[in-house]
Amino acid sequence: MENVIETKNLNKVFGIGDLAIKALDDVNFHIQKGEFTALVGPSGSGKTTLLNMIGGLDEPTSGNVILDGQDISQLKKSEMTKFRQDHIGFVFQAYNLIPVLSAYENAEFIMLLQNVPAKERKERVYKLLEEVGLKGKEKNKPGEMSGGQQQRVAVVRALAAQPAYILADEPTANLDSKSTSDLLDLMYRLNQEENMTFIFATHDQRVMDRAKRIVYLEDGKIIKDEVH
Amino acid sequence: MKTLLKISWRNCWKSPLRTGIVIGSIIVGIWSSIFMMGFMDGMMTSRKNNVINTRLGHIQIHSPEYEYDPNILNSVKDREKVIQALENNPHVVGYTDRFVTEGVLKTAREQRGIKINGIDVEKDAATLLISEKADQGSFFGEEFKYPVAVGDKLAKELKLEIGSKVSLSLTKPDSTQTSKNFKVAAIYKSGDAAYDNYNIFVPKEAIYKVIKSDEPIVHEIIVKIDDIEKADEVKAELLKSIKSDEVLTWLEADPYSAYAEDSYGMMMFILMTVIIVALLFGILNTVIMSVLERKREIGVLRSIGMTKKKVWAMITLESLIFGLVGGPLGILTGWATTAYFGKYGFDLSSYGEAMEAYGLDTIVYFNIPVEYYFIYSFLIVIATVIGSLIPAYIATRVNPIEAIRSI
Ligand SMILES: Nc1ncnc2c1ncn2[C@@H]1O[C@H](COP(=O)(O)OP(=O)(O)OP(=O)(O)O)[C@@H](O)[C@H]1O
Ligand SMILES: [Mg+2]
Repeated sequence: MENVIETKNLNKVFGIGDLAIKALDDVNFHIQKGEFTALVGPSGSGKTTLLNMIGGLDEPTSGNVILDGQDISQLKKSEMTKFRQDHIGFVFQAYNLIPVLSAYENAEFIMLLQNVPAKERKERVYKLLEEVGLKGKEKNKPGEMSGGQQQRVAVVRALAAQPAYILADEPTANLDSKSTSDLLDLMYRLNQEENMTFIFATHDQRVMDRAKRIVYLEDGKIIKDEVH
Repeated sequence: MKTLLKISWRNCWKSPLRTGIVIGSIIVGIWSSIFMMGFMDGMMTSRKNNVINTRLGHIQIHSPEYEYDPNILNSVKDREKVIQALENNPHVVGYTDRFVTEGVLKTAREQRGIKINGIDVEKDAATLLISEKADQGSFFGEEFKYPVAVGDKLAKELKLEIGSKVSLSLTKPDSTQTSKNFKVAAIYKSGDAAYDNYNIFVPKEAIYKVIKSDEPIVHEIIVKIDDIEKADEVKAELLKSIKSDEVLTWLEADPYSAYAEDSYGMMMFILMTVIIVALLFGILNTVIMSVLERKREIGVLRSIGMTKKKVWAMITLESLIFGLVGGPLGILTGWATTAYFGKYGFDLSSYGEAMEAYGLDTIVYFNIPVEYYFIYSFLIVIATVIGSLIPAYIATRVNPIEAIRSI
């Protein structure tokens, strides 16, 4: 199976001298197409830092990050932005959506950046919004939707752009348990049906319960990596 | 791009009150500055026309020495030649030649230094409006052999009425003094109190009798032409045949008018600059606030692959909307107001006396040279663009990692 994500001897140090913090300590890590992986660990263990690395948002202090076959240290900043647009889907904890745009407009946003033709955008967005149970909410602004519905729009936006994988940093942190399980069901189904690769960082036991693989981080090191 | 515009537009109207206030103040600022400009130009034009029509004419001809030494001896050197040149010039619609000298006006109680203007009654009336400005009496009827017209304020100060006797003293060409009793035949009010206080008018023939001169001595020939814009051109034509006398346009003859024209342009630019700077800060402040409030949103957009360029465009559009909605509305309302008061006049009669003291009419007809609208619009566009750069720059500096970390 091909690796969509690969890190080699990845190190990330914040600050210098006595104040330096080793957020990632020699991380060697692979994710294959179709995985459904949770990154877990105590606060400050480096989950977000690792996600930022494999999301092409931050540069390592040393080591390599190879995303979808591309060593990203080769890319210029502007190329990196474009790379994220085309290869990586993001779902954050909150504030994912543009408040002044409707669910539909948010969902098609990345495709607009990618210059996907209007007809195709429309087809994909309608299909996905229906799949995630948001049919009839196309015109709603984020402020007119629940947190769970907003997160589902964010998933649709990521998915519609057809990325190689989707990264989600604590996507359920602001959700109640019903919304959490709905969102997890959705992502799980998309993983099963569309073979979409998902990687989460989470504290949430319910998320871990659904994960097929759990990677445990502590002090920037992978201490356990188990497949269920 | 359409979506960016949509985002910018909706963000502008996310807080309608804030946006309304900013756009409203842009409109009011521009409108009021145009109002001021129209008013100032109207006042200036009114003063200019008044000065030209009652006193200066468009062109004046003197002896070259007269300007520095308005002495009775410094009369127009070659009157024949000048008259001939004027008669032959197609742009000249009228002229009047005057005997002008300084003298002293005495009443039983007081005396004043004044300027005696000896006028050709008919020609003067055909050229200038001063003889129509008589408040009481007229310039000049038959009832007095030696009539004089004095200014309204001078008459008040010296307690003169129609028929009052005054004595005028002046130096004759042979340098001896002479004086003669005149009777007040008219009390006039030109609209310029300083001028009225100093200038008195008598028929030219009367003054020739007083100085016992047979020759028609004149010191000043005032010319009216068909188009004020042609003053320089006509002057140049006249100078071809007039060699020994000096020809001045109204602008040269009245330093105040020249100064007013210059300072008007200056004032306009100061006014425009002040408004533009205010507009710039209004837009800057609002859009920077909007960017800072949306740091996390912008961070997310950068993360999902929105390029710096697009973020830049999104925020720039937001600033442009303020300027491009407020600017044209301000210009338009300003223009409409100016056009209205240009046609119907702006009534200032309650300030009449103060206005007249400066040679102004009480109804001001607004006027703004068209090019000012273009200059203003151009400056507004420039300011808006500059005002958009800073917030857009701030937005592109948003670090996605930090913005997301604060979520
Ligand atoms: N920009 C930064 N500057 C300095 N230190 C940082 C920065 N980002 C992260 N760190 C530090 O790196 C370490 C790892 O942080 P990270 O955010 O990856 O942890 P996490 O596992 O995501 O924690 P949490 O569960 O609280 O989200 C922490 O000690 C954190 O303080
Ligand atoms: Mg974290």
